[in-house]
Amino acid sequence: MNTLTATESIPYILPEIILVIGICAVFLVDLLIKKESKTPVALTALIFVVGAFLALLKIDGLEPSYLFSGMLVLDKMNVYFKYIFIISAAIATLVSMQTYTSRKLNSGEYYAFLLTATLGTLLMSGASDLLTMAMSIEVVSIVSYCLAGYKKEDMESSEAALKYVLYGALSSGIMLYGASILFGLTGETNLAGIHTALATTEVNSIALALSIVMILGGIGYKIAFAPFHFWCPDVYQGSPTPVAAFFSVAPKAAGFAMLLRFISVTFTNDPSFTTWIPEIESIGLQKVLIAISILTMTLGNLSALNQTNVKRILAYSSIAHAGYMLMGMAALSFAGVEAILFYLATYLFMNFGAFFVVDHIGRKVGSDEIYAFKGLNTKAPLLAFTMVIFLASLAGLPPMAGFIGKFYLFSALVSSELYLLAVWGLLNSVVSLYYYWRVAKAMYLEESLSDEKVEFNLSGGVLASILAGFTLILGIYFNPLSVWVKSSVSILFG
Amino acid sequence: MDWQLTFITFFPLVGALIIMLPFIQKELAKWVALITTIPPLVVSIMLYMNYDITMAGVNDASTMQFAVNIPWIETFNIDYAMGVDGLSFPLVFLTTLLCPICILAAWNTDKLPKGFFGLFLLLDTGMAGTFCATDFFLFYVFWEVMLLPMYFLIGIWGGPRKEYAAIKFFLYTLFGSVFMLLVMVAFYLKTGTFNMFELMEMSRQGRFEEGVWNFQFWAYLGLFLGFAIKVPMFPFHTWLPDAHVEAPTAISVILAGVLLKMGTYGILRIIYPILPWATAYFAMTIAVFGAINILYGACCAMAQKDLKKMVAYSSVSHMGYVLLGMSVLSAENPAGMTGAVMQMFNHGTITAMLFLLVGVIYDRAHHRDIEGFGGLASHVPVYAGFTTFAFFAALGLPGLSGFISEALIFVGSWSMFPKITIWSVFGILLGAAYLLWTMQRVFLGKLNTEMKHFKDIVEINGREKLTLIPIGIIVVILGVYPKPMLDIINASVGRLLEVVSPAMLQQTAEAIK
Repeated sequence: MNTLTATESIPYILPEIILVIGICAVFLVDLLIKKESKTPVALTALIFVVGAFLALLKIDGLEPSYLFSGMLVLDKMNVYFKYIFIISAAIATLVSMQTYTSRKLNSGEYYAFLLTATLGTLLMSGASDLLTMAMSIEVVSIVSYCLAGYKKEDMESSEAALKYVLYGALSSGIMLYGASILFGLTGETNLAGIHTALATTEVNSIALALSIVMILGGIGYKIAFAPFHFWCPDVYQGSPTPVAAFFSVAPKAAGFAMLLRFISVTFTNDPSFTTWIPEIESIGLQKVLIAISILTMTLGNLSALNQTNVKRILAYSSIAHAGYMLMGMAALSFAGVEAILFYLATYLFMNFGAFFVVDHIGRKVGSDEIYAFKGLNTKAPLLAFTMVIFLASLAGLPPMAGFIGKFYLFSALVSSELYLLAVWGLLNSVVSLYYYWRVAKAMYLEESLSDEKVEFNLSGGVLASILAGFTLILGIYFNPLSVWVKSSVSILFG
Repeated sequence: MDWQLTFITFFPLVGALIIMLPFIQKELAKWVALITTIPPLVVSIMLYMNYDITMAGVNDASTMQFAVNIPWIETFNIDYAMGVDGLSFPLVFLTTLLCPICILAAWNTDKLPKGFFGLFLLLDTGMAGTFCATDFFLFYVFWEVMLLPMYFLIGIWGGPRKEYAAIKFFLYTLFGSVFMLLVMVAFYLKTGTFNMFELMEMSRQGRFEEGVWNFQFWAYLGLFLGFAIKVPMFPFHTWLPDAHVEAPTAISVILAGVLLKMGTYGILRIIYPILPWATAYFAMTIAVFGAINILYGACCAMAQKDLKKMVAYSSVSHMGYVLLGMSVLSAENPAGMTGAVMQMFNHGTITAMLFLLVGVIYDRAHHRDIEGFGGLASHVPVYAGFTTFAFFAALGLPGLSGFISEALIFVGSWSMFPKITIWSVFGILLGAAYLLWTMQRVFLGKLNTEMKHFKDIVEINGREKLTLIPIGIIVVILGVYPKPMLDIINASVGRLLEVVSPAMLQQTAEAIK
């Protein structure tokens, strides 16, 4: 075990530092430029995101260590997640540049919030102490409330923000209460310390179960798993679309990073999930996770069936996808963790892609409803074509990336002998095809309501094509990614 | 390292990409499509010339012909592995033959021709790939690749209820294939490979537990569900009439001619050699379902008023023969299995003719109501002649190819399932009944001059003849001289039966005890 002091830790958090500087820089640039166009602000944000990416490349090879005397951690898995967050931030910035530069919105704040949310997700994935866990969740949450309510003149946006705040406050409270119980039981806030205490002393398993469930609730609210998912559709629908896309990927991935670390570091005795601290066996953690994943994906999919708003469909679909990934968690194995990591990478591209198309249609046609997509095939063939790739990938059809992600998940389930859960998940993915395909059907099979062309500029077309390209390439040749994922499963223990 | 199968599979995809280029306009699109489907046909004729009939294939990688094997995804041990043997080669040939014919049949597609021909070529790649793949993962990918183009081809260019038919087809097939995926994953986790030959070797070593409620039992059910939906086996057949009635002519031809064969092909290629115990255990069940398919399909066909629906149900009935034939697992009596493999090809050609002919009349009359015609033989004699030929082929007239394969199937099944065979033979009778009755109502009697669009009903044209004549020639040749086909099939069928018949003998012996 390699624990570093505060000063020694500085080089290890280079991406976070760059993002903090970026947040300040965005505000400054916004003050200096008083023109209508906010493109320089967006570019500043983008430069710092790219900077953070380069810094991440630099810290990629560093030896896994505990930072700041055990408050944060840097390990292989953490780095993998950080790539996902920074790439999502970059895509969200690029998508936002298409949307939020010409409007009268005060875009300096907007990009600063986006960078802050990214910073929060980076911290979430590295938190190895109950305090940093709670703090990083709050960083993401508070910025998310602001972003959700960003369209001030829009009633739906304000409603979304308020709902988000209420749910967020409640679940943070629950999580902190759970954390306090865990602290009371063990006298430690550091996850590794808690593990040592639990392994050596006997604790009341009912109190332990209660605290685990409460902490799961706090994390579950970020992942949006049932029954903590109710905020999700309203918030996605009300938020600006690029923000909704960001919410559906980065904080969710951060929630999974935290969940993985919390469960494995605190409750297992070794990295491969084979032996657990004795109380966990009696609590039946796996059954809880199975129940949550079944509930989450089924609720998500069934609720999506009757939606007419595409953003809402994607919101429910993101709940369903959280359910699929929770199956990987429920497998409680290395294969399951690998599956989650792989799935998140594919999910990043396909989900952002789908949201990007929705954003574009929302701006050009003025509606997110399914009817706005009618006849898109003739109005904007490229957008329609890429959207079919994203939808097919979300539904898990080969040769798209989403299929490989599902393939990983179901392999993990079968190897953990959770056959019925696997069958249930597969049936769910068949159901999901139905609602994704309502959008595809509208685009290709139905006549448009108007003859107007949907314009889009070159950069938008390039962005959609790149996202679709990744969705396709990761489905056809995924060897490099799976090698990377395999090497990233190691979590720092001890 | 042979290039031919890769070429057959991916050349159409190249065509699809060319069609997507912006400057390719309507007229050009169909020419590109036609031109890109002909080289694969030429290559598969070349393969036929070079085909070594002594090499059996099936469970032996070294005797697969024109084989390719390149590592694809090393982390999962997935290979880009292709090869053909007597089970798959006739179907590869059938695919390459029917594709240019279908493009000719769809020559007058006015609506979005770029999209139609592009998707059609993508479908072609999926079909050829499925028959060539010898790696289970690759097979599954190709199998699923066909879904998307098929959905759009039915959904955009179909008839009045196209959307319903398209999504029904899509969901049914996907429902079946997710179970296939699950079994595939289970195979992989048990053995660490997706290579079909290695899986068969593992099976021979007893890695897949035999016995009711054991691994083979469940794996069989999972795979069989996926394949049976595609066949389509009663009671999973209901997507088929809908899809056929709504699909445009060319797509109906592909659907009945090639896609249905994937179900039975998958059973023979994957289930039989990998799960011999379960194959033997369920042989009787398959035979019974085969008989149900034959009789139920024929009865339904007889009741139809829509000409295309009648032909669609006749497909259900004819695929029943394949199921019946392949349930005969006896190394001494390979006739049933040989007939089944041959019937797959023959049904592909004969049903293609039937759907093409239905398309010809539908293009002119704009309806397919059997009662709405009458006495057409005197009005369009050449068309009537072609149809009579196709109907006779379908009802199994001696001298045409359908007779050979059906006769072989009954010869084979008689020894093992005499009662089921007796019932099934009534299917021939019913087949003759519905076909001849249809013929009488459409072509014979007094010319019904009051039928809808009577003036538009003109004689079959040159392009349409061009689509029918090549298939007709094959039907006649294989009916009179089936040896070339049997030569290709025999070695592989013999090998397949060597793999599965011991399990059958053992189980029969146990049952007698």
